[in-house]
Amino acid sequence: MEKLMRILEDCCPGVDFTGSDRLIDDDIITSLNIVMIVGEINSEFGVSISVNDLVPENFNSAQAMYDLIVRLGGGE
Amino acid sequence: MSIMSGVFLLFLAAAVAVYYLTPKKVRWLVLLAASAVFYLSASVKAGAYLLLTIAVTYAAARVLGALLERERAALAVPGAPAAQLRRRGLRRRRLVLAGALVLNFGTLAVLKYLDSWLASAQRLLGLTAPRLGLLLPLGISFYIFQTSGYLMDVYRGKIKPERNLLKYALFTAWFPQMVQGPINRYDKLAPQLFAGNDFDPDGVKYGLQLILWGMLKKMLIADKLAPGVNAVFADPTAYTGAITGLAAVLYSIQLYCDFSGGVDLVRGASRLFGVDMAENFNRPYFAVSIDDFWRRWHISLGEWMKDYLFYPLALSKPLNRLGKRLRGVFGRRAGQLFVPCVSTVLVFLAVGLWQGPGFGNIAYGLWNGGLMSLGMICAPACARLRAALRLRDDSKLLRIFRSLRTFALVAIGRCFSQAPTFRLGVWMLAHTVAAFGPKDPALLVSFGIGSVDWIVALTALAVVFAVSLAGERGVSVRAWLDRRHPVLQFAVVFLAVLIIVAGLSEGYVPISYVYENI
Amino acid sequence: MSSKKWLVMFPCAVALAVLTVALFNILVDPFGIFGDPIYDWYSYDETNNPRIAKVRWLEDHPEDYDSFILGSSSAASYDPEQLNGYLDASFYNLFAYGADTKDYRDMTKYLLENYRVKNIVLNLGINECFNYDVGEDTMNNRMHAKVTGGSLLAFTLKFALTTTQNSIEKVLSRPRDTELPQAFDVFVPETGVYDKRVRDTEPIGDLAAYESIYAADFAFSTAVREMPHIDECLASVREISDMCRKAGVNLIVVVNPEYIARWNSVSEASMRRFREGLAQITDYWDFALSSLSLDSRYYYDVDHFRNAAGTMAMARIFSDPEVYVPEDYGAFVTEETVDAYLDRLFSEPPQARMEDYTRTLPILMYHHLEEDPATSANVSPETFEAHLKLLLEHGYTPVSLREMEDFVTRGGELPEKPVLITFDDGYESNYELAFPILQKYGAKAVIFPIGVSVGKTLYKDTDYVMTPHFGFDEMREMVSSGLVEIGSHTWDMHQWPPFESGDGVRENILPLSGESEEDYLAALRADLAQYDAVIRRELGQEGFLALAYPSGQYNTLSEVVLYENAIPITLTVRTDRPNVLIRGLPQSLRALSRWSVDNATTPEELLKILGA
Repeated sequence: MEKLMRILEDCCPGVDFTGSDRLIDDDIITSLNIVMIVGEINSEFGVSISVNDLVPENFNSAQAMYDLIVRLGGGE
Repeated sequence: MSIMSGVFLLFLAAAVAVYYLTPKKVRWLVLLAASAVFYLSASVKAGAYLLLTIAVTYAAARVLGALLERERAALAVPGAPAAQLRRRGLRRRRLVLAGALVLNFGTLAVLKYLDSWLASAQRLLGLTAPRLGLLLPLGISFYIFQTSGYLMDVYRGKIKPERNLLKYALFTAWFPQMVQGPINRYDKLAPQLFAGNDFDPDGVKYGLQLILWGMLKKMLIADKLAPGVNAVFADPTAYTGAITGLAAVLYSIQLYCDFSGGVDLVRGASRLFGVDMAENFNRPYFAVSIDDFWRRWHISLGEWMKDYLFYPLALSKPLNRLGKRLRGVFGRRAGQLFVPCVSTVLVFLAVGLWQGPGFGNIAYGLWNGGLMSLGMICAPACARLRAALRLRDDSKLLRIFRSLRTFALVAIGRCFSQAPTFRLGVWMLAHTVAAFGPKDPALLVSFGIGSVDWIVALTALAVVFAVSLAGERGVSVRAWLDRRHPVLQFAVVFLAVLIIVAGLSEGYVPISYVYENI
Repeated sequence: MSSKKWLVMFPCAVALAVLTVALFNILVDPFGIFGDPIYDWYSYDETNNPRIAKVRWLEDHPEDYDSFILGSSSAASYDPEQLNGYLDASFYNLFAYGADTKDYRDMTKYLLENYRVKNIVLNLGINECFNYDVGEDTMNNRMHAKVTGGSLLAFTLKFALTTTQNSIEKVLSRPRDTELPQAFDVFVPETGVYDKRVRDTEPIGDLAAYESIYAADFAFSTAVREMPHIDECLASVREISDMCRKAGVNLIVVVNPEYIARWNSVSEASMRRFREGLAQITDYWDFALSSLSLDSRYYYDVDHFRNAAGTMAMARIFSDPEVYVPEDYGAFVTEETVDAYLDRLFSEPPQARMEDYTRTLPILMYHHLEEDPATSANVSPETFEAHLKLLLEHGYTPVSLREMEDFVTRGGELPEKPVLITFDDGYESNYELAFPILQKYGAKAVIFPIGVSVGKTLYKDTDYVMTPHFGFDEMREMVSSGLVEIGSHTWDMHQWPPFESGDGVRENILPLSGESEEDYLAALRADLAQYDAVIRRELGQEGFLALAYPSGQYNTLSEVVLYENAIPITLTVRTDRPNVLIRGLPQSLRALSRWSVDNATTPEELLKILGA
């Protein structure tokens, strides 16, 4: 989770990832951010997030993203 | 029939009446019949193209569905070679999808561009041959996008393919979406179409309000500004910089009122049947950045591009491998940004090419994609700058500045594609700055827009702006109006209908929608 | 309000809005269908849709007409009043812009069914063979349902629920209505013709000048084409002819004059086929190709011949000796003569030689004569005599207004090198010093006295001493010599500000600043009437032929008023264009140039003015 938070801070400086679980719905992070984040996650966690995974539910909060990583077999 | 006509409104009223008078089970057939009447009244030949697309995509989706079923069944067998099965299944599905998409977009490209390609080839070779004069079926871009999205959803296993061909035909040819979108998703639209909706007074009322609002925007603003804008863009060199600049601004206003007005009208029409179509606009000119703008303008296209082009590109292996390699050369940050930036530029190139042939449209795509990438690259620097200037993110002045800046950037991009040639578009912009001087103020009112039209357009624009501003602040003018005295409500509706009836009968020559022939 | 209530309210609002629109359109009635209850403005309604508004005019005046002219906008150049004289009938010009032969057939049927008809003049041209059954789809060209026999209810509803734009424009146009026609009111309701007063008072002279002003209107180039609708056109003509024969109506078919570029744009085969076919159906007059086709001054534009050409055509048909008609203008064609006629038409192209029908006319302007003039503005008798001798020596012949007018309207003769000598203001010196010299040489001249100053030595009202003016006795003596004609320099619109006491000094014929059009027209008409009455009383002659504008100032409105007061010749002081009198074109007598001559004018300068 810490690694994920580091990635998030790095990709989207200034966004408070802990305070919201509507990151996508409220347009706090955009598809551009998502793509950047996914790129980082894929290389850092060694997982392969596919297009089908790119739905708001998986990116609305840091926890949701972490859950996705775990589901794809990339958790610590 | 033009949707801006009394005939269409009468047709709509009749269709609504029949819909609610029919037993629920067969109501969807009423929608199909209405769609067929609407589409075939425009052109029977275009109907043939539509039928072809319906048949091809229906069949391809069924095949994709069958392949998926088979794959799942095979995987369910214990001890099956999962990886191998998946790979093989994927390969087959890909082949079918690719074939169907090529056919789909190939039809679009041929009908849209073959003539212009042939013309340039002829120019190049110095030949003269007759134009093919291919017919561009009404709404072809939109139903091609919609059916392609549907195919990809089936391919991804997100939805099950529709088995009933007639139902599928209704999904593809639902008449309100056939003029200029919005591009609807199967999982959202189809259930509403097939359900046999109850008469919902709130929804019907909302639908009627949307229709009035959309027609007024089109008639009172877009159509009034169009002659002036067209005159200047047709020959910018004839005007001083102030006028070319003004025309660029007016074009943005015209385009919004035209496009969103048309979409309001058709969404309203759809709503009369209890069918809620995708949103297409969210007060785009209040956007604070290009990125924001594209999430508020032509939303259904933006979403489509995101889901079916941007994400696949951004997650594609070759692009990511390249990004990783660059990370080694130019550092982490560059590597991070590479994939989203390249994908963005490619997506906007696609949007530009979809708009039309010619370098102007390519420039339009590069401009928007480039600006969006630039915004991402500069985001940290901008944040630091704001901090240094002690600008609060929620400062009103900053907000206004950002909206105006976004508006200007968008308007500039449109000059590239809207001017007769890219070169003229650039000239227009340079001219606006270099030769701004309004030599003769009278010229301001004499480039195709009469003084009465100016007053009408500006008054209506003020109303639209006020309503949008209220909306941006979370105030719904519609809800506010609902609470007013019935007499006032009656007066407002009466006035709206009066303007429409007075303007929209015999003798009114509808100016076709900007996006109607795309 | 609940949504259910709202949904009840909505159709009410729609119904009310539709009713409001219908009521507005019916009351303002921009097409003249509903009786135009508020404005009663036929010329506006006819401009919007001549077909419909003219039907209403006829319905409102059922007993006023027994004869009709049918045609498209070309036929607007046939004058009903001229025809009334020839046929002892009362004509109405039922032409409509953009009309075609199907429309003429429908109109004929409608007329025969609803009115007592004696004569129908049917005009055909190239247009009728290019267009057939067009225009029903536009509001401006749609025929009345009463004429086509369509559903009257659908027709009425369509116009009641048309866009209010037309009604709004009518409301906005009303305050802008003026004496002269504007784009929104171009018809004369009583006769049905276009109000062409402006184009018919425009000065016409030099051909090159005319063609440069109207270059765009005569620009016409197209490949030679076949006429596509000859058969449909002829079929309708046959129906018209049959209907007229059955009803005992005198049908006169006229093929209108065409400008040469228009004529040349159609193949000979087409032209022949149309004329042969027409001769099988009816006798007709063909004016299409003649010397007139070669001179653009007889046309408003490439598609429309002038009223003057229409007048000549009717004069030819009815052998009117009072109107000039070129020898080769118009041929009567019958089934028997058509072949010979066509062979001649296409083997002997028309010729137009300027010297046959035009004259360049220099006009000299003198004022006061004086022995030993104090300023060179005044001319000594010696100088005047020298001028006269010089121009006679160079072969110039002083002519009269009457001769000029006769040349233009009746084709009378003018010497090869005519010149007009004029004197402004009516000074006594004209009688005492110039008249004897004129008598000595038998030279003609025109004097333009200011009516109010005749016989005066003191300025009116204020009694300032001024240069003496001759009286009516002198005037009569000069006129009876046959050498001098009296024109007009206005009754009292050439006032001299230093001698005037009040405000509103009229130095010339133009409106005073801030004067309303109505007041101005009244003042101008009163001035002309006063002068006319005095001239009739004192000289016993029918009015006067010419008015010299004080200080040469004039405008379109003054030209129109003078034209309406039957003053055929007007003179200015402009010197920028030559005067060219043209047979058959009254416009060549308007706003003529005049060259001021004074005591310092040298023989060389005078010869230059004369154009020698």
